[in-house]
Amino acid sequence: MTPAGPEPDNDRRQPAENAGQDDQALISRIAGKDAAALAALYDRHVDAVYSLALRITGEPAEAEGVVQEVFAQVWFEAARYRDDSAATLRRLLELARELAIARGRGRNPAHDADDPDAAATVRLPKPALGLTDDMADPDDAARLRDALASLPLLTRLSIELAYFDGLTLAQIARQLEQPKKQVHERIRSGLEVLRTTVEENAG
Amino acid sequence: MSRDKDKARSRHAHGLASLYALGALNAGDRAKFEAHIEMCSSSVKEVTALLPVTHRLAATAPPREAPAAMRERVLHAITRQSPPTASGETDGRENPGGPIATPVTPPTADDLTIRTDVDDGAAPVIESRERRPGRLIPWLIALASIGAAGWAGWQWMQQVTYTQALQQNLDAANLQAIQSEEAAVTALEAVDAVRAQVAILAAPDVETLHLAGQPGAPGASARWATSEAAGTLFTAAGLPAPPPGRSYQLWFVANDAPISGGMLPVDDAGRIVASVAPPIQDGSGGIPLVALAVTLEPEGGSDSPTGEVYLLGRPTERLPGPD
Repeated sequence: MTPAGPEPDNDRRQPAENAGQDDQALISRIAGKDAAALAALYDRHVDAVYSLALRITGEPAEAEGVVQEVFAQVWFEAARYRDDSAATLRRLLELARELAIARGRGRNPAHDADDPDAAATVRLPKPALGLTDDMADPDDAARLRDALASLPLLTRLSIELAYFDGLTLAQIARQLEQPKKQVHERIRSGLEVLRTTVEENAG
Repeated sequence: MSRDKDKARSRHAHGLASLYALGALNAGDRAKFEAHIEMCSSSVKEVTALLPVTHRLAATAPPREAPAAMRERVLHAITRQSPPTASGETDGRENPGGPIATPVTPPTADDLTIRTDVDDGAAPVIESRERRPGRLIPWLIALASIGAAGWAGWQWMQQVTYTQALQQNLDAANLQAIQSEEAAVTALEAVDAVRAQVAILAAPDVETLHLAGQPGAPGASARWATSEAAGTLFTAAGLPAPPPGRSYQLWFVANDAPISGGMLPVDDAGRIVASVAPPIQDGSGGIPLVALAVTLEPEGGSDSPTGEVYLLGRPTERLPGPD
């Protein structure tokens, strides 16, 4: 690795003050094929991307493949990214989720090719306003984890199967052997509880 | 459009908003919801309120440090590649749905649309420099669809009941945790254990062998599941309680020389949930497994099976263990 930029790796694992703006500066440099900037972005966010990829794929080798695809995407596409200082980490994670689930679908029998209930895409709707990178705050993450863990078990599983496994309502209902209506209600009420946590974090 | 109709649609859509925000709608329902959302500002509001939650679910993955050795591998692999085409340009298309394009205007239906055309720019580009950006994901999905068909389908059907049984254990363990402060630590460990078991059954690479009840317990059944990633799990149901001084023992039968898989504790409901390692494999590809059997033996176990066979399973085309 040849550090080409003025500030190579000295911001490794630096916590996220002004992370959004820093990310955006890195993205601009990456668009100019600055390898040191890619390394800096990697160092800043790889743990989050890797954790998510590993949670979804369950295998370190697969997770590494996802990490590589995510950062390769940034490397080749950065020039086309619009200015959006807040959303870099969210986009990385969103991309990691899609790629990891797509990998898993080749092998997970829950994803039946002919299933009319399957999701056509696992992409989440885009927030209208960029989520800021306080997503990266480890305390907020821990509180959300706790909130999720304290939900009733089947509620938590329903949400996790949708988010981490990319399953639809009907698929979740089948897997948990619960009526669709109940799974639906669990997801609704569960997300409502989590929303309170997120909003308390923000406030 | 009458008010009543609007109201009915709203009620329906209100339910779907949470599923939409979580990406849990199938194609038909999603299209319906997206058509609806254009006319229903309260649905837009509801989805908008939930997106900060669903997008943050990523952060609930157990935090792990990426392996240090991975850094050079990944960065080197990426930066030594040439751009797929002239950098940043594919056939002159604009890329409004591009990966980091986020509208800054107030929410509209468009902002909330999940893009179904995966060809719209957010696809990875690493495997082939000839392949244009945006071409990989459709291929991944197509390949994945083919791979998911076949024997795995029925296997999944069989598996859900076991998942359900494990789920009940998990519910019970959770209840226990609530009821007793003192027992909480133990109970939480039990929760973890059962979660690991569910993970094995749901593992992408799981291979399973079904054991059928024999005349001594015709209603019994069992399953041995192995996943290289998640571990191994033996589950059984419908077994009679062993008489005093006797217990169940598992056997890996290889060319008529059974190897003990250990004793299997059975609970009051006639269920077994145990982690059972496959017999030790030699380097040359392992032991050809002829059958898996459960017999009733004297407590403490036997060197070779002596008692009645209660469960028996033979591998079909797929053998658990190394390829």
